Amino acid sequence: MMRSIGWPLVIIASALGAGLMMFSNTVSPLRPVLIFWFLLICPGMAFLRLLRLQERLTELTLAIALSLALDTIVAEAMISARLWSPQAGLVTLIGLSIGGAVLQIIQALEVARQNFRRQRRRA
Amino acid sequence: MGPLEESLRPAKSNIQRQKELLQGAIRPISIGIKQWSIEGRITWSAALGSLFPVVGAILLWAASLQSIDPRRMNDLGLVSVLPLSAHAAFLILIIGFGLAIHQQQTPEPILLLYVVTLIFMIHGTPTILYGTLRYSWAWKHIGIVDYIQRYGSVDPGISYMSVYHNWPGFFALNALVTEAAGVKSALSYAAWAPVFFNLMDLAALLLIFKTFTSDQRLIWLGVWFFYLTSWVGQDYFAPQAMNYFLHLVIIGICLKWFSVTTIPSATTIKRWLVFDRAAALFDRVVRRGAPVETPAAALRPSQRASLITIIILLFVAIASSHQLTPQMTVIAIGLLVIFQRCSARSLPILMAVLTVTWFTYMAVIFLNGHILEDIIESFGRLTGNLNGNLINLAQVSEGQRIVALVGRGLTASLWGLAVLGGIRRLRQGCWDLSVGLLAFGAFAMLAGNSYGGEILFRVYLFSLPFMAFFAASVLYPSPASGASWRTAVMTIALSCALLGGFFFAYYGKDRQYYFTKEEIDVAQYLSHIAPPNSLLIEGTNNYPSRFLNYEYFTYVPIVLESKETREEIVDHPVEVLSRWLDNKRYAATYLMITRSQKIQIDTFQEMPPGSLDKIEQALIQSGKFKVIYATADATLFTLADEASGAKP
Repeated sequence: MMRSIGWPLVIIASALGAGLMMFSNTVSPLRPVLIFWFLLICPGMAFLRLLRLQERLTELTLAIALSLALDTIVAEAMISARLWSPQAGLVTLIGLSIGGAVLQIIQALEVARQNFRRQRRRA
Repeated sequence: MGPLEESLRPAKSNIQRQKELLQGAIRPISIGIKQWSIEGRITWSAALGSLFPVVGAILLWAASLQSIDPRRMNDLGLVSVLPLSAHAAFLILIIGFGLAIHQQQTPEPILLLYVVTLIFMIHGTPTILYGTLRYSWAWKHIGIVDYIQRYGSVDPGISYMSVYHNWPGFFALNALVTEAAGVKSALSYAAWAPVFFNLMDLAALLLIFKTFTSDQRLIWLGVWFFYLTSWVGQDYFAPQAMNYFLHLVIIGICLKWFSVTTIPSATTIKRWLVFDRAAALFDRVVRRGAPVETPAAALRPSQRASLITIIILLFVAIASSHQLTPQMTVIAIGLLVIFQRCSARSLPILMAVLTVTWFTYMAVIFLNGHILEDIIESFGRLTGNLNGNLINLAQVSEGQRIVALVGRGLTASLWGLAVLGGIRRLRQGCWDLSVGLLAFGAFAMLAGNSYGGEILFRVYLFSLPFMAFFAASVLYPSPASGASWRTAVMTIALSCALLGGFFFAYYGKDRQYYFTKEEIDVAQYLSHIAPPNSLLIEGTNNYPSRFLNYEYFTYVPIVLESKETREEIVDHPVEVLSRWLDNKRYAATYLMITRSQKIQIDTFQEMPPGSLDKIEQALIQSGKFKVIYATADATLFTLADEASGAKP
């Protein structure tokens, strides 16, 4: 159970940390590191883990690719619509990431509930 | 015997197992169940020995960097200043890798460490040594990011570098990253782009190669060869670098999860192809081409739908960021679908629709102005498109002639090895249809477009992973082969030869690609003082330029003028250039001459060697021009009576 919700918790913490850093305009060497980490991994990983691919390297590869694609599409949509706002872009990606992470937690709880029922039936 | 069954066998004595391992009798060990078996423990203890060469190579490489002065590079580029210790570091790494890969039981993390170290050593060397962003086009890409940061939009009709405004995805992403990270500009991280993109490509290559074979030696040697031959330099801070990774991931997903499980019946194929012979040949090829070593991963319908959605999202990012990569992706996936290697049959059509939509809707201005003419002119001109990519060896310096020849030799060697490897795999009963299709499919683009004289390099790049896989097959064509120590020696020798060629081909132009802080200072100063609608005359565009307020300028590189005009400038620089700068249509006029411009002129000899030095001296001595900012490596001029913005 803890293993299943480990990633969602990391994603939520990263998303909140990235938002906090940007909106408080923090000047710290930690800020670029956290932002790079968040934009490179989190939006993709938030959804990828819902697929339960079971292979860590493959999951990470696809998560990076999907994150880059989502980041690009969000940024591209803003400039195409002439609504450029890095804050709004980051909020969108934070929302997507937290949404995906919450779905992962719900999925993990559902699996745990089913396992519990199965065990009870066997008992 | 499957891995699970093998792990459940009664344990043999350690001595017996050691003997079997030494004789190569035990098949490759994958990461997983076996890590906990007796073989696993033996493997890890032996693997520790494999770490020593990596550590030694890193230490030696780091120490060698201290003694390198990039200013002393000659016409052969960075390789001319690499000390013996740097070469020794690479040699140690190659020997270590050759031995590690030969031992079938080497754990994958060890092999991963070798490849990651190779990437750092190859691509980290210029980044660390120069301390500035390498390659002039990378600076121009920073300029587009800067434009988006300032305007929050793009201008598809802009007169200079409009292609980037029509495919702005990568630049928009970097504007977002820069703003969110709170860094001053994309310059803060762009120099590390080659290391970053090559590391990402590694993950995608592993995803792909693991669908071709289960032999980890072939997988990792293929990856290794990829990095030793990836010399075309499309891994810098550029849209194509990101898109290349996304392209590889799409191929990986298709091969891993959308492999065709049931080949259509002979009757169906006959209905498609009409002619009996064609149908029989096609039927034979697609049936034999099915991978025997790696079955397709099973998918639930929801997983399948999600993966298709992911592919579409990746492709949208590609289509909005680069004009060539979508075409390469459509060709690659199209071939996999046609030859029954990919079951997502509607994907190529959907991708083609997305590509055409972007071309005709979002990039219509650029399409009308540039691409349509280029496509019409170059379509079907196979030899013309090919020749446009190769430099005229008679018109370059001696060093660059060697660099160009080594690059061509490296390409021919890899392709030659790939053909040999393909034949060896075929003789082992592995048809590798997917690898062959992806290796040769990219060549179709040669008939379609010259891509501004770069298509051959792009074709090489897109076919490279698959050519590298075939090249590695020369040494390890099947899991049962390559047990002899001769194979290890051959791996080391071949790696040394390829790396030697790579050093010349990849680092060979670094005298032009390296920019000093003194050059950057002057370029930065000009970007800060120049008002909008300024005229900038420059020797060439090979210097750190267009990275700040780039749209303020009209650029006139002397080297792009006609031969007569260039001769006139060299003969009468003061008269011609004072006339050019005395142009009231512009708010301000400038002329910049830098060290790297001079190097390019002397290398490609578009003007007599030393021309820019001669022009610079004549302008200084004339009294008609005023130097408004100068460093050891760059001089910024304006007309003497226009020097209001002069630096005290």
